[in-house]
Amino acid sequence: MSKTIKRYGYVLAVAAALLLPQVVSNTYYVTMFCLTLIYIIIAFGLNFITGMTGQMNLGTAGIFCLGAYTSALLTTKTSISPWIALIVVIGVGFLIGVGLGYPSFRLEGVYLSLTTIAFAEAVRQLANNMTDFTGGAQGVRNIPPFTVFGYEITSKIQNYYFILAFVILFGFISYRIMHSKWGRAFIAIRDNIDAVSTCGINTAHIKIIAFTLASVFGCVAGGLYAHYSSYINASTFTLNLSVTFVVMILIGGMGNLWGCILGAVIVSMLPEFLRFLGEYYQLTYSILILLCILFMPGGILSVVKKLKRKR
Amino acid sequence: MRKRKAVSILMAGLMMFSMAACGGGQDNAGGTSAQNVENSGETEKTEAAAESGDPIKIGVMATLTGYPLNGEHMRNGVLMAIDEINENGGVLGRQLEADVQDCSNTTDVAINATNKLISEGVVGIIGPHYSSQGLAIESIIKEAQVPMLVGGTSPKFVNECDNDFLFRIRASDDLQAAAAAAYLVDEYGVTKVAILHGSDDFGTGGMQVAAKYFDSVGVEYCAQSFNNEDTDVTSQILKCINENCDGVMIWATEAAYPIVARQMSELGLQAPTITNPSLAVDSCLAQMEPSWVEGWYCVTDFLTNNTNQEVQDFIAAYQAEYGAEESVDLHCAAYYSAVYALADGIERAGSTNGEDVAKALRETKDVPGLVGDFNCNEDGEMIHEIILGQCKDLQIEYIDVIQ
Amino acid sequence: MTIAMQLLVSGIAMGFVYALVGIEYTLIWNSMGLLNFGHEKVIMLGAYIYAGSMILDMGLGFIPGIMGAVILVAALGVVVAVSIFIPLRNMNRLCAIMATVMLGNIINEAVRLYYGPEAMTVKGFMSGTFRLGSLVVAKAYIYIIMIALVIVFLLNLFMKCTKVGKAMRCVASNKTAAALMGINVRSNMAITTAISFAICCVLGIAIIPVSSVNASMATMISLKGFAAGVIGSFGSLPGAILGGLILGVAENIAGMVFPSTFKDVVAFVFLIAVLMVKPTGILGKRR
Repeated sequence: MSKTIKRYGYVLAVAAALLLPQVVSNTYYVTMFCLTLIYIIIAFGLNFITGMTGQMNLGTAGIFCLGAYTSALLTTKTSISPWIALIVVIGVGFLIGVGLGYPSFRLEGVYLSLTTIAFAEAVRQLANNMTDFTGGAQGVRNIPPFTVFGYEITSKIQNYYFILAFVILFGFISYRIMHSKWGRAFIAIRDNIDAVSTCGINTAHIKIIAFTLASVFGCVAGGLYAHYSSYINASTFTLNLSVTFVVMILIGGMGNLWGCILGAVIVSMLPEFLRFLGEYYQLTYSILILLCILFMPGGILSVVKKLKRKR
Repeated sequence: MRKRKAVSILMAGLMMFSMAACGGGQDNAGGTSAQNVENSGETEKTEAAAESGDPIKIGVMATLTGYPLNGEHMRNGVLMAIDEINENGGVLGRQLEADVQDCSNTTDVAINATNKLISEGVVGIIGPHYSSQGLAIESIIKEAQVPMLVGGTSPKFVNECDNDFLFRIRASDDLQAAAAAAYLVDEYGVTKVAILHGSDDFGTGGMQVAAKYFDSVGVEYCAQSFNNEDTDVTSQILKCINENCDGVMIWATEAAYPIVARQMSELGLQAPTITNPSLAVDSCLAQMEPSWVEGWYCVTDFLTNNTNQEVQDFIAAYQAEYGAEESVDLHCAAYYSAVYALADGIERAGSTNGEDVAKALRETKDVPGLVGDFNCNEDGEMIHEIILGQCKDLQIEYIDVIQ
Repeated sequence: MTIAMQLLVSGIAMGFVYALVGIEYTLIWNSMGLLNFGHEKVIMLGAYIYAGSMILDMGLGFIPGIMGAVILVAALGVVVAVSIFIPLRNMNRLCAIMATVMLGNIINEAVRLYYGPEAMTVKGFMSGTFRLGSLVVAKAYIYIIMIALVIVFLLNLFMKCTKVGKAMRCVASNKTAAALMGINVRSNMAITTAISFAICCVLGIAIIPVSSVNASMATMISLKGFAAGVIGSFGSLPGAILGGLILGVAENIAGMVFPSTFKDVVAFVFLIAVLMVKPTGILGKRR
């Protein structure tokens, strides 16, 4: 019963997402939706490592940055197709995942979050200061768009549907992984790591898988972002951005796809809708998020669930 | 426990409310955009409004949050100009209205702000101040056909952008940095120049222009960069001293000056020094000891002790409006003048259609401004002169105008 | 040679700054198991209160100004502890970290709205230089080193010799036992936070001559302070000091070898390398 309801929910969500730009065709909103969709992919990825496995990853901006720069530099410097660049980007994501995952089975908690911060900051500074290679602070310009069957994806609406296709694909992949053996192992590591290793499961291996998934998702999102915005520079990929990503899955509800989507939507849209407050909008935003964390530590979904149970 | 539950429900309610507000906003926007679904720009809408005599909306992109911050001064200057124009009858018989949006210091926020302004049907956009943001949104305004008057000085606007809607209301770094470099060479006959520059787009851009000039005249240079967050530039300065530099050029944002100037004087890098306009910003000078920067030169757009009557009038009016203790700097002045340039363009275009306004702006000629008269060339450059000043006892004294 | 010495001096001074950051957040970590990611903004707030309110607005002298600022920030620490940190300590660690980040954002925005966006400084405050032969040492660096040493000394004295300090160490090592011994854990945590915030404030004031007062004055310092704590040994005060010094000197020497802008990269890569080789830090015991 509840399973069919859930299925309907997914179908409804996809239908709503398909219709959205037809109802709201204003460029301002469509651009915002595109960015939100990209963030949803990252949130799906981060969900594996932070939401399910419980490892604190504050280096997502670095992953995102590497994905974006890899794709941007490959397509602008060697004029290969963005699709081939995307394959390389997935490879890069895989490498980062293994590289970051390796320390994760020696380090825990705070140590790990500091390592990931250090990683992200080092990546940002390199992107900013290797002027000859990355274009430095002036960024990479004129990144070519994706082409599908000979058509260039240029307008915002085309971009929206293009990215939406990726979101659906990655959402499906996440769903399958979450309900597989891996998914259960992720959650088990978060809840009781000692019990997991007693069961004969290689925890280091599982952690690396989670990290790799997160970084592949993040890198693909980075590649999409680069081709969607056609201009990138290093000032985007700050520690603040990493924090924003974690806030997304935290606000929505950890370890749940709906939570990721809800969180990404709220965190990327809320500041925009608070713009009418003028100078105070950032302050208001921070206060709202703080209150959310203090009073709804399980995310918004947990409140929804509580209300349901009462009924 | 009960209290906690109540608060959590309250929070959920707040969230729902904001989502509902978002839904409302979307409906609104959907309604307006439905009228011109087929047409790419919102210019149609503003044209339709022209007959009704509604105010003409001007978008302002100011860095109000994040760091570095100068959006407040920019906004103040723009608002003041708009008030003055409105008192004198407005433009095309209509009043001007500013729509100020924060563009923070990241490109994503700038992109959202631009799209928001465009969706609200602004006739022109003033700002952003930072070149990297300008470069990020340049293609958006081109598509939407809304003229934009940026204050970013990166040479890339001309070299890499082919955009008829992009105008620049400050002298380009091509001009500023080259003039600064030329002054060091011509006036002091330096043989090796230390270029200390920020690692951001602004500093790097200035360094590249200067380096090209030094190469062309056969003067050696030693370029050292620092990050905006750096609090210690000892190793950069020591490297310059080690290379026996006999001239210094600094190209960085305001925040770096107190640190660089202090350490230069402490470590003894003393040579003729020339800087970008940031030195002439009052809040920057206020953080320094007189001995650190005595005798330094700077190229700048705007000087508060310029004896020009218009400049003095502007300063008096600004301080009357925002308080006497408010410092007046190039951000206030440059964007104040930009409003006049835009208003002039709209007036001459005779309509608020983006294409017409851009065409009129392109033909701008001899519009008086505080940072030089506006004369537009085919690249959209509107200002072609800069002021050379020298720092004496924390005051920048006017020396010359370089055309 | 002079260059190396010169870089060593500024490296040591920055090292003490990192060490103080390390101490300040280690206190809160030990007491509440909470990593205060908002500390960057608390450092900034201290500098703003001192420069903006105490000196420029009220025209107090340097010393009374420092006292006033420290007391204000410490009071804020108590408020923050009671309203945010103490409720947070039983929560998911991730929630706690994000909440402190948001606290930092709130402080940042509030400071910008109250003091305005312009950077400021306090003129004549710890300015000037000493000359030792060809070596030039900014007085500010000497003061920073002295302040750091005094704080470490006083903190040690406080922890070892006063009742509250002993209680703090008790709470750090075992909260349940501390509560059973009749220590009021909550008020003890509030005191710890206040001390930590006070150190932040002193730190913010001490770096005014080096970096002037602006919104991003403590960004890098606070990140590297974290790194310093981890490099030394997480959660131990001597570890924080040692880590800070190593990091400060290492990054300055690196600035000589590599292009100077890469020195932050070197610092972070160094952190990762140390963690890979010895996850518990240089002074850490083997697990």
